[in-house]
Amino acid sequence: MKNKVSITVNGVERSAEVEPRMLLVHFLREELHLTGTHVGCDTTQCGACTVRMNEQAVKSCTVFAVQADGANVTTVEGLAGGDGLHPIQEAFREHHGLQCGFCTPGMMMAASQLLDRYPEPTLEQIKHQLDGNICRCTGYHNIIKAVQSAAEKIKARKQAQGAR
Amino acid sequence: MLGKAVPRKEDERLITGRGLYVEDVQLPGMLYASFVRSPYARAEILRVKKEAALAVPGVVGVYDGSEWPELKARLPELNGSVTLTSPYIDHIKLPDHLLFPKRASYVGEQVAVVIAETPYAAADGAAAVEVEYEPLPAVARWEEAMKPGSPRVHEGFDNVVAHLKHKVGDADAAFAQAEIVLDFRLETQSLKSMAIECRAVAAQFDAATHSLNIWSTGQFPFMMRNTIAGVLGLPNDQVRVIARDVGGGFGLKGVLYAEDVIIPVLAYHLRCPIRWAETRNEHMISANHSGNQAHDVRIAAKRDGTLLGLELKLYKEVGAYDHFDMMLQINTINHLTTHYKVPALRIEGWAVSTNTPPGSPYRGAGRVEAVFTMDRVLDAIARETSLDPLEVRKRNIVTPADMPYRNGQIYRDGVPVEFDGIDFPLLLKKAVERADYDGWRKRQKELRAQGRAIGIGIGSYIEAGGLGPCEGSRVKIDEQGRISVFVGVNSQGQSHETTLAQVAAHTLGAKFEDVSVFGGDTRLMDFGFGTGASRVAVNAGNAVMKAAGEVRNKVVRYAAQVLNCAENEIVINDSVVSVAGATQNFIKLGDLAARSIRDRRMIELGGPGFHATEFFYPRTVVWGSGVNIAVVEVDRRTGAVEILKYVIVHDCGLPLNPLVVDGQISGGFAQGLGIALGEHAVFDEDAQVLSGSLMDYYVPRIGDVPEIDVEHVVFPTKDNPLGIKSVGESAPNAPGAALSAAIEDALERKIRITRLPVTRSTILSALRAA
Repeated sequence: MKNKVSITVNGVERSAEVEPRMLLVHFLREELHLTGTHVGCDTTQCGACTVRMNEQAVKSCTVFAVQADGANVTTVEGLAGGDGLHPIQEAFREHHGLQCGFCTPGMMMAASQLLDRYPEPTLEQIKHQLDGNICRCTGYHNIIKAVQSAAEKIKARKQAQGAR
Repeated sequence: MLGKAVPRKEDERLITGRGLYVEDVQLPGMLYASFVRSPYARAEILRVKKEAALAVPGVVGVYDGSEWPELKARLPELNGSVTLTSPYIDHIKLPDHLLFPKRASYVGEQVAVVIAETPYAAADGAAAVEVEYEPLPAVARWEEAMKPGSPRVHEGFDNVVAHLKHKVGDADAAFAQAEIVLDFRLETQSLKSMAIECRAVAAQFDAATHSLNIWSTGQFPFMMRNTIAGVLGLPNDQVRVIARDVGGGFGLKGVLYAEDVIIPVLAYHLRCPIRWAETRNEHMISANHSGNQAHDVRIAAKRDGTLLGLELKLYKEVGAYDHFDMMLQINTINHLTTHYKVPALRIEGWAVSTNTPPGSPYRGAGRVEAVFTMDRVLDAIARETSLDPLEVRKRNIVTPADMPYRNGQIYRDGVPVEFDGIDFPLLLKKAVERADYDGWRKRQKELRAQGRAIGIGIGSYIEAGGLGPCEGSRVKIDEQGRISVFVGVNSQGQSHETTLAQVAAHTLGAKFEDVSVFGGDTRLMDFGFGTGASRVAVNAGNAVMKAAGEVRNKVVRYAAQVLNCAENEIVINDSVVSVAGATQNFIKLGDLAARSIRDRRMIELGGPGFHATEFFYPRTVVWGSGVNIAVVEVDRRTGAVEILKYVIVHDCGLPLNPLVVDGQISGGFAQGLGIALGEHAVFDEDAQVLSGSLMDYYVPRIGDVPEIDVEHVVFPTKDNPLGIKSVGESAPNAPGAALSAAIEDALERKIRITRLPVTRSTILSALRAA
């Protein structure tokens, strides 16, 4: 038995017939070939599969594709929303916030929700909001710097847009 | 360019989701694999019933090793980076490690594999395979495995698979002179590297060229290529292994696994691309672990705190199959004495099999155990003599006056260990100052009076890196002036594409933007000896420097003819070749390369274009070192450890890129913190895995890792042209020792810490017992 789902992914509506048990992460990766979202643990601990679903950061290994029917999903491929880099991506690069890069897409998607919630996050807020994303390479120090820097960049962009 | 903190070249694809990790490989007609694994630690596999699995929609086949002779192959006995040149080992006898064993030897060992049209169908198929087992007695603990009546891990093989001995000086005389003799057992836990990407392999048969393309998460692509080519009887060049984007390695991916051979063999026979990606659950259960290690130490010392000698009995659990002979034990021994003088040393070691997954190194690879031992020894002397632990260290430290210093060890490449140009007391002094050691000793007294448990601990490490035999690099300049640097090693996050580009740009006088580094593909080079043992920067870095230097020589010789000047007048800067002093006489590197293509003058310069291949052979390893000081507060009610201050002072020679060096220190520290306070691969009495998920196996989260205060000290080495040492395996080594000492100190030495990890429950139960 298969179900039809229609999910807007990175601004484009995508429809497919899927098994009810198909996880959202597998729908994104195997059906839509959006392989930027990674699977690191399949038990909702590592956060490598984090995407935004209707703005909420979710671990897409713990959401069925059928649950996302009608939803708006943003993955790392859609984070910048066009050409160029999102300030979070720029900041991760500038501050060496990634080494192997496997956890990075999920980490950045979680960071994007964090910065929506707290445009000027405290250290405690960063640590609390990224608690569900494991990085094995960096020791997190540079991820914290990158998130703080991204907050500055977003603020500067908004100010520049406001001035225009 | 060299030594600059430039952002990484590899990041752009990785932050936009365009990296290509193995599980991202999607090919038309691809099939997917799922393994059936033994639920028993030891069992005869009587029958594999395939029918039900074959009836699952989408299942293409079920294979148990009986189908093709190549599936009866065995894995190479020893891994790429072993210790064949170490004189310490006196006995080694290992069983065959088959792709599909007749008898399972650990929980999670592969018994059959299901191939299907989708990953879900493959998993359904694997669940439907019925296997008849006859469970056999198994042994889960190395202590049991060494007893005479123990069940055998493998029939016909002793559980002690290897043995070694080494001595330095006269241990008997040291113990005869000793005013203090102490003895105790130290234990360090088994660990898993826990890269966020699990293992994976994908393989595609190309009928047109009768060759296999393989995508791998491994750290040793050439070993994989040669093994698979050997199994299939193909020339090495008809097997291509690509391992470019790998999501972390840390040692566990530095060995060839059965799946790495089975999947390519099936892709070859079925003529279909096949992909297998390990689940985290499979990873926790069946991927290699580092093995428990125990040290029985006996110390001979004087009342003034001088260490006279050490006796060490070293027991290492190597799991069901030991592909590293005694590499980890020898690493421990080679690094044992760290910054200190141990005039007499007597060591005996055993490699003990158990019915647990095979043993593998984890970042640090025996060094954590060495540091934990040496610092616990010095702390024990401090306790016994009532001297401050810092004072005991000062009294035993190797000084610049002792250089070049030989500690009597022979490194595992067969070369005697020698330290030169290292100022250990300076590292200690800087760490003491940075941590405000004396200030904290005062504050500790004051705060203790208020009931707060503050403690200070010191850990000192040395790190041998840059193990040979060699690495090569091919460097070339194309007609657009783009410079390609090819290397035989691959990255699991170490930033090779950036640091090696810095070396090439610096050597050539080229723009950094013009340089691209290509590694992790066996088509690019003929040889590669793997990413492990902190060896890439030293080996490949210097190979790139040599090859780029050779290319530069060619450019200079040709440019002098084209620009009509003497060779010593040629200047290369920002990818432009010019004549010194002249403002008009110049040519871009790319234009010069284009011009050389049809120029007969290149007959003398090795043919058209500018290219060169060079290899760097290190004489032996280079020695990095450092000191960690931890200040902690322990909550006596909860056992929680809060790190108030953590200082790392280290030397890794000249940094190629300080951003990358800092990243290695920060990430390595977090892993060391995990080792110190919680990480543990746990098996029960039946060798069933108890740490089966990331809920059960602790990995430090963002809130767990404190700020660290790092100071870089540079003692350059003359052992290689770049003057670099290694850094990859330095930071995980000392947190276990420093934090143990700090916790013990915080609790006013009411407990003795002799075992890693030091969990909250360890602290609480020790406090209750005290």
